[in-house]
Amino acid sequence: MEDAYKKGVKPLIETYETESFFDEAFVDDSCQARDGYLPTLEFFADLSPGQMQASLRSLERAFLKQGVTFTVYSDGQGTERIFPFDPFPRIIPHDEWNVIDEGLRQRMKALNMFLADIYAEGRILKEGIVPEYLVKTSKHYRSEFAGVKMPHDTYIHICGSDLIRDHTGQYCVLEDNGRCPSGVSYMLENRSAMKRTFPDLFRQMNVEKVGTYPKELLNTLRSVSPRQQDDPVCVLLTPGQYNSAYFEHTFLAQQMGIEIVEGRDLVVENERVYMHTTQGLVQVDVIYRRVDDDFLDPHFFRADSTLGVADLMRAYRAGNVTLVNAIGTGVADDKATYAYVPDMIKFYLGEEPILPNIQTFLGSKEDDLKYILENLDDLVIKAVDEAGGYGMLIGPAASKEERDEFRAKVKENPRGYIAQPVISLSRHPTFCDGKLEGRHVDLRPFVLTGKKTVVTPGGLTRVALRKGSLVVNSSQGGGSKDTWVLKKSKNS
Amino acid sequence: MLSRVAENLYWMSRNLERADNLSRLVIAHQSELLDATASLKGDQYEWHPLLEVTAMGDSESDEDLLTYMVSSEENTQSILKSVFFARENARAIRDQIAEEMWIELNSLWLELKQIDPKDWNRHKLICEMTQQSSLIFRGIEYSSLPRTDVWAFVQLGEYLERADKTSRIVDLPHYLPKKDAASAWNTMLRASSATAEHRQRYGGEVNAANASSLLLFSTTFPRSVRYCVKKIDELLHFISGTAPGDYLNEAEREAGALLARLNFSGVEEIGEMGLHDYVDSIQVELNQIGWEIMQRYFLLCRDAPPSNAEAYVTSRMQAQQQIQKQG
Repeated sequence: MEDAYKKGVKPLIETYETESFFDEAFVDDSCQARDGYLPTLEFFADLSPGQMQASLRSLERAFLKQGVTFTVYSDGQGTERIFPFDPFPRIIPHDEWNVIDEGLRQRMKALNMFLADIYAEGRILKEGIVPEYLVKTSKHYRSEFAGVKMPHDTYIHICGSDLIRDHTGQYCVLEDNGRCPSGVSYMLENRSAMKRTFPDLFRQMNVEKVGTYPKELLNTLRSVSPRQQDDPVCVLLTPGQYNSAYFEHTFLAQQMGIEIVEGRDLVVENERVYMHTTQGLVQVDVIYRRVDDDFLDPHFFRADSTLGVADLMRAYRAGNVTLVNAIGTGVADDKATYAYVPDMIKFYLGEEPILPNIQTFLGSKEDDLKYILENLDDLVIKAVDEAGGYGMLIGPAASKEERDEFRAKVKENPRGYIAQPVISLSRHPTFCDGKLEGRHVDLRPFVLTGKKTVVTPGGLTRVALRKGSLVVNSSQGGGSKDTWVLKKSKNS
Repeated sequence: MLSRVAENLYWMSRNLERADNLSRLVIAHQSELLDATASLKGDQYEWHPLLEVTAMGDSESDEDLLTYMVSSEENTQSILKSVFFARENARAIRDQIAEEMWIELNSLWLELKQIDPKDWNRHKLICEMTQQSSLIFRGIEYSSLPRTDVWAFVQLGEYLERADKTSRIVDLPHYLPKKDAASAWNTMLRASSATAEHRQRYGGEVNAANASSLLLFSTTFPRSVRYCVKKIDELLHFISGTAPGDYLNEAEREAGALLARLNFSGVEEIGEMGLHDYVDSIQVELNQIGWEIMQRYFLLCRDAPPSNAEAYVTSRMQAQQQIQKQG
């Protein structure tokens, strides 16, 4: 810890206030900088307002020109926007990251064991650790696929759990995204933008690489191929170019050197999946699908889906193609299941959870339900099967009508809702009109599991750009930062 | 290569070539009109020949004809719309082409969108920027695309569209009053960047026979119809691996037949048929080649009729919005 007021940093942070939140960069309002932050503060303090402006402009132009965009549909036309980017990086010291790394590996292992278990003998259900009805009533539970064997028993190959830090600075898991987590391309593009724009700063900081992610992802895909051959055919299945995450789909496919396909490019014959090429049909082994279960096969799931492949599920069940992530992983995403992850870790691994959960009240438990209904004003209420900041109520910030509406919903379908105390997310210095101000952040690291597990050091730091806002989702005014995990320093 | 990828490469290239050719035609026509003894008074008459020649049909919109051709949202073949479609095609397959090709097309689209609709100079800017970008795009294509199927489908779209447009440009005098025909010959040459070549070959004086002979039958001028058809023939053989002179599919047969026709019986045929009917017949054959390419290489995965690009884009957009609620 060092005093950040020295060496001309003062103008940048003179008016900065931590306001009793846990601040990622400062210990308190006396502006003691945390480990690793002082050089970055000094660097930005040395830039003239003109240099800073020019850097921001060139960052923005580069993102737009390269089409690093997501699509917003609220205006009915599908406008492409760049994901707002804040140049002040989040810095995570080496030792701090090690704990996160261990915690994520532990969690992934337990979640995959849980899925393999409930789609097979269901030990954890029989022993009453996780209530059976909770699993069986989950919207994303696919009983049809019980007994289908997965290569390496892996269901969730790609996971993007959201981490937050509470008022003490403790990292906690907010939710596990085990279906089709997105955002990894922003992690990679943010890094390359930072390296291009501020090479001098980057050089002196000794940051862990994130750029190997596409290679590791490809290794993961290959490792779960059902056909044992040297060069399995892996493809990325996209809903198409009008999907909001399309940029990410093309980016990853290109980096991995695999084909990006739409449902209409694929056909199933003899329970095998083929793609249409100008030279005829080519068999596909692994599909990294960025399409939800519901839309994958019109003969099996939603008949009105034009994005899927007819009879894909037959090929899948016959074991002739691997889907990444597997079908039915949404059970683990269910916010009611989430509450039991610490118990899963103890049950399967005999270990204490390294990364704790947020305290969670389940509508499905009688006592909890009573507590939720009595304390609605102070809680965050979430629908168990929604994501992306949809279907939730922040009690203290909501109007009476909104609270009444949610109260009625919870009463009507207690299984469908959970509640958590309002967590005061940690804050991070963020540029607002040339000055630094504190804004709330979370962290989405990416974990790959196939034959082995790989945790990319860092992840996507999302930041709620609106003052006081706790919502970091890109569709609702969120932006992002590059995340720098520092290498082990040579003299420590 | 995926059929859908081939299709997008081909249409990306065709749409850009279409925008480029129309831009050239508008600029050339505008500047020649200034010199013409202007029997063509009034906007409708000035621009109507271009509308005819590009087969955009009759505009039923309230927009003036220049707007209709250059920046209309209603006309799916306007320059602006063609650039939009080219960019959408490129976006679908951006992992297949050089990064700089995508950036060039994307930048062009973003910049065209930013021109103030009230800017008096808007149409000229759109035409000039489109031409400029198209040259840069082709330059990147030439210097960085590997000579594989990717290259072949991009080139196929380029040459097929160019052959069609050059054959239409040659037909421009047909739509002008006789006494203004001379201005059309200059427009033809300028729009095809052929003025210098014509001068070197035939001296300063422009006449109909020389200008159309250059644009239709030159074996060395890269925008001539014959040159383009020769390329189409080569590219089709490259894609299928068939020996030159032989054919494996209808597209190759049609292309071979058209090339033979252009190689051996050009000038006499024009004499018999008249220029207008002659280029008409060429356009029919080019369309046929395009149709056969689609049948052979793209239709495998077709789930919407190809003719209506706009409705197609809209329907895909809606289908894909079904699942926007993922974190």
